[in-house]
Amino acid sequence: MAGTSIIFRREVYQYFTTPVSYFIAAGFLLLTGLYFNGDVAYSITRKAINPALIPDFMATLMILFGPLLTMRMLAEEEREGTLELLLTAPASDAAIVIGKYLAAWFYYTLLLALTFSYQLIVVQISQPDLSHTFCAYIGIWLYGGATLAIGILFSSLTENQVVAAFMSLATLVFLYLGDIAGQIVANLDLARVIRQLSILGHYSTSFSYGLVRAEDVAYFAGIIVIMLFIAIRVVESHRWR
Amino acid sequence: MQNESVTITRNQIGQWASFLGGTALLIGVVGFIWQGGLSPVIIGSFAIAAAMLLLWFIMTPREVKAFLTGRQAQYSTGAVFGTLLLVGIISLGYVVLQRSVITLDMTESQRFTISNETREVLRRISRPIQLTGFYSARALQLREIDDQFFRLYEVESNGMVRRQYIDPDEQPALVQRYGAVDGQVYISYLNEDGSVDFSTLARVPRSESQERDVTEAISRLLISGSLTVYFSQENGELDPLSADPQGLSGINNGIQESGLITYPLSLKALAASGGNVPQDASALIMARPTTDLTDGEIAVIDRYLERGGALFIMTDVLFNENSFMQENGLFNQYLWVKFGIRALDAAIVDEVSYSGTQLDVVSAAIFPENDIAERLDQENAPTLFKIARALETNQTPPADTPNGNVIMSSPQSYGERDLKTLGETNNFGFDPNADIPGPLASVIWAYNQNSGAKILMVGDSDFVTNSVIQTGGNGILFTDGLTWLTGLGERIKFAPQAYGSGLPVIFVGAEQIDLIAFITVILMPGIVLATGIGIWLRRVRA
Repeated sequence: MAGTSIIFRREVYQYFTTPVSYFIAAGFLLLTGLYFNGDVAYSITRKAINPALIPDFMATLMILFGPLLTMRMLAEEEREGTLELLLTAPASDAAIVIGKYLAAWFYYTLLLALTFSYQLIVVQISQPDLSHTFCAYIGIWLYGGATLAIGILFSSLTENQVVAAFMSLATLVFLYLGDIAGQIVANLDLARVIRQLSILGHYSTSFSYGLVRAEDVAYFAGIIVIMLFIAIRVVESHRWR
Repeated sequence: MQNESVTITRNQIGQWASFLGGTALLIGVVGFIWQGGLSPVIIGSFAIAAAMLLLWFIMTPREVKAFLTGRQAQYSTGAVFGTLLLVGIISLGYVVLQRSVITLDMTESQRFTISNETREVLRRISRPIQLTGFYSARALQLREIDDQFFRLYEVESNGMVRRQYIDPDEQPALVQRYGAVDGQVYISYLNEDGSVDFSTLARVPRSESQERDVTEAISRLLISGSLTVYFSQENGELDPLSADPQGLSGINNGIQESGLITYPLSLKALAASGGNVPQDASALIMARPTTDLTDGEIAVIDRYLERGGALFIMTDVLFNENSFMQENGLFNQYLWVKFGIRALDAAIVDEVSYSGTQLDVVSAAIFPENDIAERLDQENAPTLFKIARALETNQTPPADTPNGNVIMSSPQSYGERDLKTLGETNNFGFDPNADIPGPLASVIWAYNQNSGAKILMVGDSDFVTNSVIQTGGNGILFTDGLTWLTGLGERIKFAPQAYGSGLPVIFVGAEQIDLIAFITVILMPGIVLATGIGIWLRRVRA
């Protein structure tokens, strides 16, 4: 636990002292800001603002941002040879992986928190269903956690950041498109199985509508646990390979 | 900037092949356990697994050997089994949670929570009901959304409401049997052997409120067969079975979908035999008879109304002799004396509120005094009557028999009395000596508080025909009128507060929009970007 905390603080410190983290955050805010404004302008006198507007948009954004936030975490350590050094430190393999993962999730949580400012604006101009919005935020927080866990796994599998990002992007796109499997696959049973595995499918018809389902929480928690478990085993394999 | 070349080695290909092979094997095994047999997907997964594992062996034979026999085998086998065990445990937990239907509805309107009104309806179910949904793979998302709602009904009714989903692509014969399209849901009772009782089959409509749609469908099923509506026939009336533009098959089917039974009825035959309107008649619809009623027919209606009957009269401007409800006719006089309502021999001409010609009258004023006009929306869905007949209510109605207007024309309208010229030449014009100045009523009602008799009179019959029933508020006027007459609304309607209203539309000025855009698109990203540049500059200088 102490090891996890040390790794976590080290990674968070890196996030706050590296300009790239700020550039990513600025890009993220620009995209969400544009999307938010587009919907507000369209909604005037026409419709209510979707309470899950920003979380819904983030579900798409995270397919891109998830790999961006995690691609360097273990791959860079391995490429620069610092992973071997880290493995000799008084921190377990699990502490290394979990610490790095929690730091990424923490950074993502801060990005999410910044988008609360949109909700403050919505409150000023409308009467939104805030509990619905809160539910969507819970969902997208878990969703983001799962995408980051997938990113960490691929970062642990290769020393090349580009390959790690590409592989996790490909996986996330597959899991994202699984939500519309029915549009692609004619066989209903196959489409259902794919959708059960889809990451978006566990958000788009529940959290996005203001509904928390235990199975969806279990899905995201399960993805996170499984991905981190495999990533830990991969890091561990450096000791006996 | 440093260029980074990417070199893929045999070793890496072997690693990826082993990873993909293992994943495909895992998917195949999990799928096999899940479905309890082989399917194209599972076979495909096993084929991919075999191909990838073979590739792994070809690319890195030593690693495979070490994997199977060496020190690595011990670790990697442990890792693989550990992963499989974890996946198994999590999958099991997921399936258990999925089947236990644990949800938390966080919407303010409690959109995904069964209301007390619905619980009350579900308690009245004594025979298994099935919701049958038709969803192809293309409608999978819709199915998921519907299913999470339908299963609440299943749980809340202790299994008395069941769910059945049919893939229309797989079972076209059932599609034909139900007359279904993709995404439609049907409700019906189940027979003792679990088969669908097709005699009770009805489509569940879709609107914004899913709970209202389903619960009202269940309510209609519960009362199905207990309400019967008769159409008077054999006097030139519009045909409820005709699918022609001038037919009434649309409303007839709609009534039946609402769980009501419809039958034809001959007033002539009843008058001749001295019979009565059947006891089970919840309402009698007179869809534009052409000739006026005889004494005998009026006596049949009088006996029916005396025992609390409900009459839906649609009367047009008729140009024939002895036309139905002519102003001085027997039936008109009867209604005026007993209920204080009558039809006038005048066609409404509206110079302000019309569509096409001034004879195609659009409702100018709606009086939502009762359920008939409650849902009529004057702004967005006004009613349209093609050549409307002017009606009149007695301002001093008979005792205990209140009456009122539902729809009126504009003050700039008038009642054209010269029907002969109108019928022959289509010419009309206001004659202050003969015509009736507006506004004029085109829909009126009367209610006898002692007997419970209700009458709804509409100065048009075209509005319910197949060609225009969907126009504006015509359909609403008919259904809500019939609902009021039969008392159906009291049996299936819910308190409005049971369902949350939609969120309000936003109203923002141009200045506010600009300010919001500045804050969210320029200020917020700008501050973060400036901070990043500041850190970058500091690092460069250091």
